[in-house]
Amino acid sequence: MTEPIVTDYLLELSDALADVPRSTRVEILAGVREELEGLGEDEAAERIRSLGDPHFIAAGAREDVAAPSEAPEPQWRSTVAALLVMVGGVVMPFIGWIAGIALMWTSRAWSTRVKLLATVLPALGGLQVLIVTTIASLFETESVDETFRYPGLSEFENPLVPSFYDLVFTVPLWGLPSALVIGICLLVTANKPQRVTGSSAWGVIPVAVGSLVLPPVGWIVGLIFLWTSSVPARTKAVMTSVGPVALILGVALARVFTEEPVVLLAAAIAVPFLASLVAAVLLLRTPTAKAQS
Amino acid sequence: MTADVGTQLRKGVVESCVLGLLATEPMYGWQLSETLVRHGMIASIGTLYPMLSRLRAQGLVSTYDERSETGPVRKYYELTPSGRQQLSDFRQQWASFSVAVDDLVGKDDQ
Repeated sequence: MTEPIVTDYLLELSDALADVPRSTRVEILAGVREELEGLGEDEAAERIRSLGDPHFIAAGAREDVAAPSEAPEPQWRSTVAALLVMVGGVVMPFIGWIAGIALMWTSRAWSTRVKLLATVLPALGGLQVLIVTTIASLFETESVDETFRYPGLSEFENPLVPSFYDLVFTVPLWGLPSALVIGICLLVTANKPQRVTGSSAWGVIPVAVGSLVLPPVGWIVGLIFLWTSSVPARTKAVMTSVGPVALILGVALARVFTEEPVVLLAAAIAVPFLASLVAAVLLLRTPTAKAQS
Repeated sequence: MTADVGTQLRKGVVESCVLGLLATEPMYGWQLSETLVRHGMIASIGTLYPMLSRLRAQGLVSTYDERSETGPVRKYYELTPSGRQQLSDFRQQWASFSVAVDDLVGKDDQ
């Protein structure tokens, strides 16, 4: 386990490095973290002493980085980007929003994770609706209460409505409010030290939880967290593949016993979730177990 | 621009010192930082990482991840072929350079 003094030190260091360019800050934090993780309290305290005051470390980083060209970014850029993402789509449908997203990507005010989420969330909302309506239409001759498996999506109770029709309505209904919310989040988080994936749990757990809470889009969002986290490449590969493999195997196995769509759907959701959860727990336990031995 | 003499001198050579350290074996951040701080080449680990990313951007060092026996995955730095080349260039020039400087500045006790 990570000792509290380590967590405190890393947070202090992260604050001290707030005005250092993101790439440098991330590297320093990762380098210090890999050194302090898994140490006992006394060892960690000793090492923290020899690392020195966070502000001293930050001063060294600033001094070195100041030489190359990275000029500070004007505040207005991130604000304009966030506002365009927020309401650009209202002023000029699609184009305004796309301009906002493009400006956001060229800004250093946000981490890659935040940028990815801000970009794909509106599209993922549409994807979720498309998938749910497609599945719902498979059930159209079945009893209607299957759709209640998706809490909060009761507007699709009538599976006879063509999914295309739904989608056309969904763009303004989902797109504009979600762009508004995302824009506000961007405004709030701009130039703030966005948490640099502290523990590996932050990379691994969202995949498992997302696949249960809102399949399949929750899973995709989980993957974004995973791939923008600092977990090892092997963990990323395992966590990414375990869901789809479990899905195929789970459904294939369930089909041996039944053709009942409800059961198949339940298997399609439960099996990947359980597999991801087991993989997540195993991957998270490995380092701690080794540290204790 | 009147930083103390030591700082000025270190600036020119510290990157080559990193290359020299990595020529003996691949090292992770803390190892490098600890050795360099002990030798008075850098002030803290905060100076090390900007330098490492510069060396990496220049293609002189590369990195790989390896799990340590105590648990955490460590990022190791190693020399690339062009890093080796750069180091051997430096070694050649340094020998004649330090002799030349010694000759020019003279010694205190004269």
